[in-house]
Amino acid sequence: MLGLKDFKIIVRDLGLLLMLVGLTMSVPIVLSLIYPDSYGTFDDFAIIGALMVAIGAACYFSIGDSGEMSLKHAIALMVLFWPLAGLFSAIPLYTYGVAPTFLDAYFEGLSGWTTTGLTTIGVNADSFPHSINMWRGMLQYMGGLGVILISIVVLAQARTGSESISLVASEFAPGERIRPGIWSTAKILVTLFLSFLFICSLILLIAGMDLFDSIFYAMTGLGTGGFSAYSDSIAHFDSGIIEIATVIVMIIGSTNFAIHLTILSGNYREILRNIETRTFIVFVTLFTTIGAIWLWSATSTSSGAALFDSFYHIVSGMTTTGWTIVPNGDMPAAFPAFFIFLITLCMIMGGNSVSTAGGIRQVRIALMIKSIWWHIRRTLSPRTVVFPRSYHHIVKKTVTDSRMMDIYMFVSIYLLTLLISTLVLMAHGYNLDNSYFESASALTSGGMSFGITSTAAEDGVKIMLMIDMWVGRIEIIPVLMFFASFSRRFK
Amino acid sequence: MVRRPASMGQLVKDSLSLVGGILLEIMFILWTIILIMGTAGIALLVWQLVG
Repeated sequence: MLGLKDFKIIVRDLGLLLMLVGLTMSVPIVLSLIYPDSYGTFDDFAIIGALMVAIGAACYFSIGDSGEMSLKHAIALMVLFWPLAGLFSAIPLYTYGVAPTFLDAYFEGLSGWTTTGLTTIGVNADSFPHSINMWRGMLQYMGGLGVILISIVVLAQARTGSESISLVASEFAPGERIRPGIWSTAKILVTLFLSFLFICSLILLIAGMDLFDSIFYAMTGLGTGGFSAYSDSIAHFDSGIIEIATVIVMIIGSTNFAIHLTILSGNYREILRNIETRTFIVFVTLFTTIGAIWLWSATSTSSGAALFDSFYHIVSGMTTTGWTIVPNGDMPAAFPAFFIFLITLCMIMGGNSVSTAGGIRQVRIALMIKSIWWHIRRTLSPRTVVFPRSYHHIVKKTVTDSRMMDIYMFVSIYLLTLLISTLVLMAHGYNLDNSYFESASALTSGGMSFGITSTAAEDGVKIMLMIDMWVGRIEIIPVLMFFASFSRRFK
Repeated sequence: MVRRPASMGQLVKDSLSLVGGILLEIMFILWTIILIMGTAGIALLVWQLVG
């Protein structure tokens, strides 16, 4: 059970993180001095940024050294950080007036930090000041990096490698880390993430975007968030080269960072051997083919357009980015329900494990498929025969029954959450299709909207989708553990 | 032991090596995109011919 001493440790570390987030508001503050359309946002960002730093510093320095972080503290920190960061980040959006209600601003803040990309106010993004749009982009960039860093640094400090708590932490279990020390791993990841931002911005700039857009879209793409500075997403640019460039950014963001580092260290064969890259390539090819055939058969689209539309949206779905090249972002009007279902399936499958993407994740999907074959082989063979159950991810890894149990438990709870969310949306009067698509989009951090998310939606709908984004980002089980830690049964 | 800061030359070399590695990875992603689009395109063509 969490006691006063535990709360002190949690508040101290949350204070540190809040302070860091407050400091990052210096970027929109600088932009509000540069861009004339952003002059009016200076006060909002400066006051809130200073407030965050002050509150964070007060929590951190007044508590000081109050003990070592343990597993329950790490879980609490992971669970509480996203809603807290989203709450403070939303304040400038509300005080400046781009969000009509504070709930809409909070929705945007949480959607940014969880790298979901669903937005109620995004239809007016064209008219937002540059500083506001940059802040939206930064939320997704920091959210993407944050989900990896918090899992690695915090959970590894708490000395756990359990998949049921964090897939990221389990992939960085002792002996399998990409670098021996946790802090050196974190430093490498931050350097790599910044390098990707630089290169991706450059690619988008060369592809035809202006400087601001190239940095904004590199941020939201690497975070696999999918916010857009325009109401009609990537369709705004109406450029094939930009569309291909954004595909590259999405794939980089959703690729396992351990794979990035392995490739950058010169081991190019890892791309073709790794279980996650293989699964990604196979499923994107399969779904792109099915989607292209369906779009060509069921609509009046030409074969070339059907092929590219299918490829773009399948990648956008599977990387859980949520960008679209449909005019006005009107997915239900542009695509038949079958193709939208296919995209939803991709979002549920998700991207690689140690990446900014969401969903069930490729490694779990691959192991579930493999486990079916393992089960058949074991059932049909004599009991005395022992089969190796392993897969290749950087090194050869053995799969235990307990790991498979963790995976199946996670997937069951994930799908149950999707079902509950769908029911809640249906209770608000939406039909099954839209309720299911929108719930999946929020839970998987996919972010494509199928028409429900808007400022006009009821508060209950927005709150349900916010809960989906929150629990989906931290993979549900830590939330259950956090609430269980208040019980007297867990002393 | 006092850790000596890396020389500017080494820093530039490391940065160029990182950027080169990322560009190479991007080339591989482009190759993958062509592979996926090519495979899906051929399948679509076969479907059109058979259908």
